[in-house]
Amino acid sequence: MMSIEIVDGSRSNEELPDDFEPYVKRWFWERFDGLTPPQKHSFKMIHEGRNSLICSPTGSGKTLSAFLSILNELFLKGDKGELEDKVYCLYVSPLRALGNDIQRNLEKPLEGIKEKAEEMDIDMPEVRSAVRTGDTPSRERQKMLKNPPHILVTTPETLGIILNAPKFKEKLKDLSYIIVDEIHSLCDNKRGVHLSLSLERLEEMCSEEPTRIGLSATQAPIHEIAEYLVGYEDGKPRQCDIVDVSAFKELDLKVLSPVGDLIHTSGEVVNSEMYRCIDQSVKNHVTTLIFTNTRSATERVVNNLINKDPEFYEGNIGAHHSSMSRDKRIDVEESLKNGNLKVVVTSTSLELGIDIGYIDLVLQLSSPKGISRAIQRVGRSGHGFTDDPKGRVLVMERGDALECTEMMRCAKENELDNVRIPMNCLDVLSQHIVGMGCNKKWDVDDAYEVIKSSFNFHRLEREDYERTLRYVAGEHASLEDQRVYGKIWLDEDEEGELEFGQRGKLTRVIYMTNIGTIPDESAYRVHTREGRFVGTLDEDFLDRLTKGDIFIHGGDTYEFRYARGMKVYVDARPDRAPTVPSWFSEMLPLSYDLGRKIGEFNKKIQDMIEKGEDPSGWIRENYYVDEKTVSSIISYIDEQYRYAGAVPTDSILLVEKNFESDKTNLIFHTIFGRKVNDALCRIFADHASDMLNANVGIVVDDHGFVLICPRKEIDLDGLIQRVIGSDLRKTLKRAVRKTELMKRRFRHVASRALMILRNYRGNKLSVGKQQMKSHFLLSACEKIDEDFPLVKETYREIIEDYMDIENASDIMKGIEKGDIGYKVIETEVPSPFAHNLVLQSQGDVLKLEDKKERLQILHKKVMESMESEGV
Amino acid sequence: MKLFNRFEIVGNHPALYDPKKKMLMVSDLHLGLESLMADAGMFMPKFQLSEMKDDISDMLEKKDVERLLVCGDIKHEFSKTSYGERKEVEEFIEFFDELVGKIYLVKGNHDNYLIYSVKRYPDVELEELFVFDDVCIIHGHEKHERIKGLDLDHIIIGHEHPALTLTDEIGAREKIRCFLYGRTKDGKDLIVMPAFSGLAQGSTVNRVDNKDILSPVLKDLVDIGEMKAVGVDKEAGLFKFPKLKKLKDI
Repeated sequence: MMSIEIVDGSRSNEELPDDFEPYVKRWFWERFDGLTPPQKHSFKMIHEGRNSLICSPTGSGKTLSAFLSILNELFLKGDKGELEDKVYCLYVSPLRALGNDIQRNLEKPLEGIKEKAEEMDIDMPEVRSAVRTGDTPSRERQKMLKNPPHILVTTPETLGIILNAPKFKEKLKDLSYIIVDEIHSLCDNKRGVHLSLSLERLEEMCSEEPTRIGLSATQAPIHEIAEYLVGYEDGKPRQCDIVDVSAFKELDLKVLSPVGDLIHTSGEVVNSEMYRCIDQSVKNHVTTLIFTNTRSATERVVNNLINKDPEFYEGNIGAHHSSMSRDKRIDVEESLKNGNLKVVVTSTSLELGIDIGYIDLVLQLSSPKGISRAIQRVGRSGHGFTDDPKGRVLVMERGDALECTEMMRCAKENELDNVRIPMNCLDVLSQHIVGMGCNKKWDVDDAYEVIKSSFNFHRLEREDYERTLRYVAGEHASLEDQRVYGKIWLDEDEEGELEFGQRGKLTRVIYMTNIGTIPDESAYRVHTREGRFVGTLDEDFLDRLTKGDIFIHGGDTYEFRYARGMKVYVDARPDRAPTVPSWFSEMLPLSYDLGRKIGEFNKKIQDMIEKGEDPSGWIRENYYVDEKTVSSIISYIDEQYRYAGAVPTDSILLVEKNFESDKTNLIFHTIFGRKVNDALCRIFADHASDMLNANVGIVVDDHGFVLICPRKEIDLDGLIQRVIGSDLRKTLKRAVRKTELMKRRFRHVASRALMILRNYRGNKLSVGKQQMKSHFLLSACEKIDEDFPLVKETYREIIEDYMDIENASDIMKGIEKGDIGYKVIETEVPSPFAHNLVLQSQGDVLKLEDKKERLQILHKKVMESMESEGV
Repeated sequence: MKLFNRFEIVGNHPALYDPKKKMLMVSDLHLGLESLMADAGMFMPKFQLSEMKDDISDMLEKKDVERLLVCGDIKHEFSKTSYGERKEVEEFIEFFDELVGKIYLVKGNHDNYLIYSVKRYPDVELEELFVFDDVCIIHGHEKHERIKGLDLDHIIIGHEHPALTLTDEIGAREKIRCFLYGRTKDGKDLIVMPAFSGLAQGSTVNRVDNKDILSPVLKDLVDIGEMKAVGVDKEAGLFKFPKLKKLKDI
C-alpha cells in the first residue's frame, strides 16, 4: 500500500463529522448551505489525524475547514479538561498580509462560535490563537511566552526564529498539528526548502509526530508535492492522503483577439481595439480583475483606461503590484473586498489567496505563460462556491495567440504543467545547520538523518553534507581565524563520534537576524545626468542594459549612459522609441510542459494543412477561442509552413540558417520555454564559438534561440553531434561562470549561507557593498576548493532552478536516440516564427575567453572611437 | 613599458621598478582588509597576503632589486577583535626582509601603530616621506609643504587607488586599475600608483571632476583631466589611454 494516496470521491461526506461540537455545527450551518468539495473530505481526514494534502482552487474553503477542524479538536480536549497552556497547532503561511486572512478564517469564526455556544448555553472551552511574524512587537511576544496560544499563526521565516527561541520553543514540544497553507507558492522555491527543514527540525523536537496538513491551489505533480509536505522517514515518504478537487469547478475560458489581422493592423489600432475590448468587458461585469504580467504594464493600463473614460474609471479603478507601498496595496485590497472598485489591474501580486471579495471576470492581457498559473488566476473569480470562474485572455500577437490557445485547452481539461522542487540547496542547509548548532550539541550522523527527512534533502550526498559542515565550521580559514569564520565547532567526542554545536557568542544573534531566503532587493537609483531623480531599476534589468539603449520608465523614455556603484545615469529622450523591452526581466518563462504541447498542436495543424484540410473546424470544436483568433493561428502556422516548408513541433526541431551580409544567424526553433532554451543556447554557443574560433552572440526566448555567428560555413550537424557528445552540465557551468548572473546569484547564496550578513552588530550591509566584493568572494572560494559548497550551490541554482539543465539534457538525449529530429533550412529573411526572436535587441555576448580578450577589444574600441572623433 | 623614461611597470603588475635605485615599488596593500570585512559581516576568506607574496616574489625574480618600497597603506585597520593583521604585516616584512636589502614603508592614513610592528627590523624604515635624490615618494593623504622647497624631478604617490570603468556596446562593464601620470603645475613628473590590493575599492577616475579626487596632494598639484592613464590587468596586460579628459564618456 502506497503511503501517498489520492482519496477518491466515495469517501466524501455531506455532513460535518458526528462528534463536532453542537455549537460549531450550528455556527457552520447558519452561515453555509453545504460543504464545499474539499471540505467534504478535509473535515474527516483531519479529525482522523491523517497527514493530508488538500488541493483545491483558491476560495473553496479549505483554510476555513482546516481551522474549524482544529478548533473542534481543541474544544473536545477542553471538554475533557485536557486543554493545557501550550501550542497545539502551528499554521504557516507565506502571505505577506497574514493578518486579514487570519481574521477571516480563524478569529471571526472563533468569535462567532463562542456566541453560538453562549446562545445555546453551553460552556465553550477557551481557545487562544495568536499571530507571530517579523512585525509582532516584543511585548506581544512576551505575552505569548507567558500565555501560549493554542493555535500559533506564523510565516516560514518566523518559524525559523521560533525554533531557536530558547524558552518559546519549549511550548511547541507537544504540537499536534502543522498546517502549511499556500503550498503551491512555496514548494518551487528556496523559501519552501527553508520551511521544509524547519518542519523536520520541529518534528525532531516534538514528543509525538504532529499531523501535517497541506493546503494547495491547483498544481502538479501532486504526489511530489505531497512528499514535500510530509517528508521522508527511513528512506521512504511518510503517509499522506491527497484530496485533489482542483477540477471541481468548470472553468469558463476563452481566448480573444482584438482584431482579425494581428500582423497588418497598425499597432495603434490593435491597441485601441484592445482597450475597447477591456472597457466593454469591465462595463459588462460587476468586478473585473485584470492581470498584465508586469508592473509597468499595470500602470499603463490603468492610466489608459482612465483617459478613455474618466467619468467611469476615476475612483473605480485600482492598481496593485509589488512596487507599491504596503498601505496603498492594502487600500486597494480593502476597496476591492468591499465592492467599491469596478476593476483592479495587477501584475502578479494578486495571484495569491488574499480575500478580494466578489470577482466575476478575470481578464488576462497576453500569455500568463503557464497552465497552473492561468488556472490559479482565473480561479480568483467566481467565489460563490457555485459560480464558475470566468477568464478571458486577450492576445496581441500571433505567437501569443497560439500559445494561449493550447494553454486554455489544457487549463480547461486540467492538464497541468509540472513545477520543479529545488533539491540539495546547500546554502539553506548551511543556515539551518547554524540554527541547529545554536540549540544543542548534535551528533553529526543524527543531524544527517533529520536533514534527510526533508524531501528537498532526502538524496543529500554524505560528502556534500560534510563539506557543508566544514564550511559552517570555518575550516577553510586558518586555525586561529576559525573563531571568526566558524559558526559551529566540529569535533570528535570521547568515543570518536563527530559532533557539532554553536561557536561564538554572537552566532545565535547572527542566525536570528539573518534568517530567510529572499535576497535583499537591490534597487539602483536612476538619475538624469543633470541630477534629476527618475526612479529605481532592479539588478536584473540593469545587467542587460548597454550604453545607448532606450527604455521606458514611469511612462517616459530614457537613454542609458552608464552606471556607477548603485546609481544609473540616463538622458531623457522623449522623442525616441524604446530599443529595449522594459519588462524583459519580469517576464515569466513559458513552462516546458506547455511548450511541448504547443509543439504537438503545431504538428496537428501542420498535418491538416499538408493534407489540404481546413483546420478551423477542428480548432473550433476542441478549443476555446473566438473566430478572429482561429484565423490568426491558422494563418500564422500556414505562413510558416509555406515559407519555410516546415513548422517546428515537439518532435522535429527546425533550425534556420539565416544569412545577413556580415553574419549568420543560426535560429533554433525550440519551443521548450526560456529556462530550457537558456541552457541549450549557452551550451550550443560555447561549442559553436569553439568550432568557429569567434565570439558568438546569443538571443533567447520561450520559443527558441539564436546563435549570432560570423558569416562562415557552419557545420550544423557537426555542431549538434558535438553537443550530444559533450558533458552538458560541465559545458553549461563553464559558459555561466563569467556572467553577471553568476556573480549575482553567488551573492544571494553567500547571503543565505551566512557568509555575507545583511545585519551584523547593528549594522546593515548595503547591497552596493555586498555587490562590489562578491566577485572577490567567489574567486577566493573557488581557490579554496572547486566544490566549495557555496560555489557548487550557485552553479546548481543557476543550471537547475534558473535554467533547466535536466529537460535540456533529455532533449539532447532525444535527439541522440532519434526520438527528436531536426530539419535545416536556409533563409535570407527570417521565417515568421523567428521574427520575435530576431527582433529582440537583447542579447548576451558569449565571452570567447575571459577578461583578457574583453579588455583588449574594449581598449581597441576606445582607441578607435577616439580616432574617428578626431581626438 | 616605462613612465617618464625611467620607471618600469613590471610585467602586468601594478608595480614600478626604478633601475637607478634598484627599487621595486608597490602601493596600498591593505593587508588585513578581510578581517575588517568580517567585522562588517562579510566573511571574505583571507587570501591577499599569500597572493601578494607570490606576485612580489615573481617580480623579484625578474628584476635586480635591492630595495622594496610600499607607498603607504601596507595594512588596513587593525581590527578591534583580531590580531591577525599585525601578524600579516609582520609576516610580510619577515618574508621580504630575507629577499631584499632594505624595505621602505611610507606611512599611509591606515598605517597607525605600524611602528610597533616595524620597530625590531633594522632594515625596515618607516617615514611619512622618502626622498631619493630627485624622487620624492609620499602616500598622498596629506600635503607636505617641504616638497615645494625640494629640488625634485619626480613625485610618486598612492592613496587614490585609480581605476578606469569602461563600458562597451556589448554591455561589458570592466573596471581596470591604472597608473596615472603627468606633469604637475610646477613642471614636475607625477605618478599616481594603483592599489596593489585588488580588494581595495578602486576609485573611477575617468568620470570624476577634480573636486571628487581623494588626494589633497593630487588636487593641489595637477588638473586631473590632463593626466594620462595606463591600465594594468594581471591577465590581460597593459593598456595605454590618452588624457583623462578625453575618457569622460566611455
